[in-house]
Amino acid sequence: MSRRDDMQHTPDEQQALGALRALDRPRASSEARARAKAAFLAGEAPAEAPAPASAPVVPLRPNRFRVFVPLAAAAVLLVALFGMWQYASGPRAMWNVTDVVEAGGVQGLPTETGMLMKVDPVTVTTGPESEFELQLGDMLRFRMLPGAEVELPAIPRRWNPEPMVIAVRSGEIYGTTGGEKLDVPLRIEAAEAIADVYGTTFAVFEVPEGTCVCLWLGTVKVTNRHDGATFDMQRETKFYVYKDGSVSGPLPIDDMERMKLSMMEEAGLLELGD
Amino acid sequence: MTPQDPSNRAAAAPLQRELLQRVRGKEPAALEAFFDHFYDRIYGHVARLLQDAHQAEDLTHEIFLRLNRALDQLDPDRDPTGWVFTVATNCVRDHWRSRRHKETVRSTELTSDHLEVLPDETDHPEQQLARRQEQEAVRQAMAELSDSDREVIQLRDYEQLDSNAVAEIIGAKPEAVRQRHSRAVNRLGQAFRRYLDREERAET
Repeated sequence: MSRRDDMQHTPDEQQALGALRALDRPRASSEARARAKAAFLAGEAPAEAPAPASAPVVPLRPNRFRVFVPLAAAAVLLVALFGMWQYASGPRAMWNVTDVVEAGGVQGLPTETGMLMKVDPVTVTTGPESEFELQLGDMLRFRMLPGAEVELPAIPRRWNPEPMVIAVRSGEIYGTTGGEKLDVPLRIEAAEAIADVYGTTFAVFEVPEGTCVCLWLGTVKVTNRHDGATFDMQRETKFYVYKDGSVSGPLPIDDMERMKLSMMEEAGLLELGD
Repeated sequence: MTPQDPSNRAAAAPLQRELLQRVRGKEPAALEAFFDHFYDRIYGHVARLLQDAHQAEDLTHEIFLRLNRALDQLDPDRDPTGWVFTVATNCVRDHWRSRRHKETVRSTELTSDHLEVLPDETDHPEQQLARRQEQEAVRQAMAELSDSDREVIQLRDYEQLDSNAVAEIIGAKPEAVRQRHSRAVNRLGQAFRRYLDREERAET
């Protein structure tokens, strides 16, 4: 380093370099020097073997690339993993309001049709004159008749979805999976019974006497909440679990139920696919 | 040799070709001369880079063993200074990468005693005080720099090697060395000013 180069430095830099050059050289202890000299003359190996003498110089600049490239790759991988995680943990579908009758009586969700919604668990009620029909992607469509109260769950995520549980507090709901068999059953919880729906078209009534589950087509397993007994339903039948835990069924569905279930089935087949 | 005299750092007369040939042949007397020629310089270089006297002693020991085993690579027709500093720089970098260095608690940092400039008897007390403050400030500023900044300043400004020699030692292009050095000196100057102001405030 020449003094001429110093002229290109600021006064602080020149002063710092001057002070640096004025420092005396550190000195090793005489013992350390003697040990090193003896070892150098004898060529004896140190306790901790150093790298081979012929090891090439490893400059700092290439090391930056050695560090940067793995870091960049790791960053890209992290971003990709984060994106995958975001996608996998995202909702499989969104709720869509498909039909509303007497919107003023519906509480808990917006009533504009055609609006996609990703909702947290929410309670929805219909007034005495209201009906409310919702669809979840191409998975499920269900209709709440007047006087119903239903608790909707969060939408299952794409990856490793947990079973979706809909709680029916009162009133009647009709639902369909549009002819599709569900891998993860939809669980309908009512006061006296639990219905695990694998597909396809069903109804659950929460009435003063107890809980009634109707099946138009597909597979539904009913569990009596009083004793845990289960019952696999047949198509076009209904099954009662009364408030005292007694059961009744299977019974044939009546004409009104048949009409509503068949209409639900048709709507499901039309809107949900196959 | 006065402490302020740069000649206490720069190598004396270059080693003769005939001596280097004997060093290469590992003749004891030549090895001893070679060791005496370089040991203090290499130890000082390592100690300043590591900021740790005990580790510097151990590492300098290793460096000379490595040099001994690499003597067959010594070219008697060239000044061996660059080669010796290259081996030393590699050892220091190996050490910086090692777990031992990362876990080191710098309990044995170089103190002022290791580095102190002997006061010039002709200095006035005020000048001696100012010199001590500068010395302390530059010591702290150097300690604050990154390993690579300290390395390039050490080689250029303390060992007084030119950019080409430093480039050969650290394995970079001379222009890159100049840029790296410029940035390092800039950081040194800023840190030096900060510590110097602190020293002066403490004195007042």
